[in-house]
Amino acid sequence: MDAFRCNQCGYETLSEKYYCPKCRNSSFSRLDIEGKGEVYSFTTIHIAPPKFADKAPYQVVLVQLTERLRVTGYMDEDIDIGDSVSFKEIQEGAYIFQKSS
Amino acid sequence: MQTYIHGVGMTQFGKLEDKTLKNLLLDASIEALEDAGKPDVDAVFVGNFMGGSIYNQEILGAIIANDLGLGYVPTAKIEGACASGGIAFRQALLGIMSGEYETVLVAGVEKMKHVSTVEVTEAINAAMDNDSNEKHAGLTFPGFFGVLANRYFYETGATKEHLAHVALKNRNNAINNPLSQFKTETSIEEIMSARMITEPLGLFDCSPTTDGASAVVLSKKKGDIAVRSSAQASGPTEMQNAENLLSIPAVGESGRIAYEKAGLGPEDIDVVEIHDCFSMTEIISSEELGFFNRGEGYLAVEQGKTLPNGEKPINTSGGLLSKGHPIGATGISQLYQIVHQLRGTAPNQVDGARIGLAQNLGGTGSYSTVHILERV
Repeated sequence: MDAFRCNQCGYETLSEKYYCPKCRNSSFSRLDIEGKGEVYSFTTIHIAPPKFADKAPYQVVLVQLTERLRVTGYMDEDIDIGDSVSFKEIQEGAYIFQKSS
Repeated sequence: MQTYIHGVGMTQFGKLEDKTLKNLLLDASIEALEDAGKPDVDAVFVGNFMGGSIYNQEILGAIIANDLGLGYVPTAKIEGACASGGIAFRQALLGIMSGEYETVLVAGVEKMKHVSTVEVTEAINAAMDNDSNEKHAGLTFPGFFGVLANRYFYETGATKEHLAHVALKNRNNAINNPLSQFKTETSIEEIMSARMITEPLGLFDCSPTTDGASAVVLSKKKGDIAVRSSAQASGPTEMQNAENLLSIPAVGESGRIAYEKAGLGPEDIDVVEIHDCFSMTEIISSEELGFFNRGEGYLAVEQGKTLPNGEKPINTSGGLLSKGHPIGATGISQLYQIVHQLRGTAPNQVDGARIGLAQNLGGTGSYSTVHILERV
């Protein structure tokens, strides 16, 4: 997985920003992330947008990937806060996660 | 420069099949103009979110000017998702403070009940970033607050029952408000067992779709309700950008600036309208606005502190949860309730209310406005 890190203060973000929101620096480095982390929080969505209706119920997870970076992903497994998960693939623009074995 | 609210108006909130978008806009505007004593109006600002996408109607400002016969005054529609109304009010205020206008009409409106749930959901999702991986992961607005609620429970010990108490309080308040959408009595048991929308949020934890409009007349001429301060802030448009998931920085920042400008603090506020798009949101924002310590908003609910007779009455109108949430009208309807509270004519009247605060939220914390009003 790709992410960006501010060269001045170390702020990390999934999408590149013009200014670092923490320190206003505008130079970032590309970061290669292993994609293993813990579930910071999640929800199970029962009422879904039209495109996702046939998948419901499914999980949207907020995964703590590094000390400074959380990423929103999709899962179709029962999970809980603190569970170990790993990045599987990008599917139609979504980061798909699975439980770590 | 001091500005004053001279008049307010609001339509019934609910499913209003017989009223067009224009009917609603004009009904609320006329009521506000009559309440203000039929003043000359120098400009019109309209808060609206999806008139274009699901009602195929724009030029709302010009329609008001034309149909009310206001003359060739400038008008504009303001879009800021669910904060459209609050931002429209603020733009009117800034227009007066700049010296350009003396008296401005602000109206908010939405028609949402004429289309299917699928269509309205699609239109609401325009308030998420289309390019973001979050939308592609199937995240929804209730979904964001579901993720937040699960973490809040994990860190504080709060439970779904605390959320239910927010929903029940706002329903009981709405029952006394003749203009509210929901007036049927409910119970903690019914709220707890209602169908799940996005865990842990059930049907009663989520605001409904609603038709309705509201309006205010704002002027620099002296009146009996002063706008003590106006503030607006932006925040992360994506959940994964939140530095602290249990904080909505736009709410905190708009509150901080509003208090600072007014020279007041949370302890000075007698009555509050908070943007309770979800039960969880009311609790988080009550902390963010400094009414309760972080992580303790749920205890305040449990202790009855936010009831109309409590130490910090929140959403005496019934809130978005039960008064209803016609998106563009919501921010103005909060001011409608606060003005009536300060006049002593509100449903669930708070005895002797003199200073009130209204907080309006857009997106998942993308926009927030805070306005502080005082009876003078």
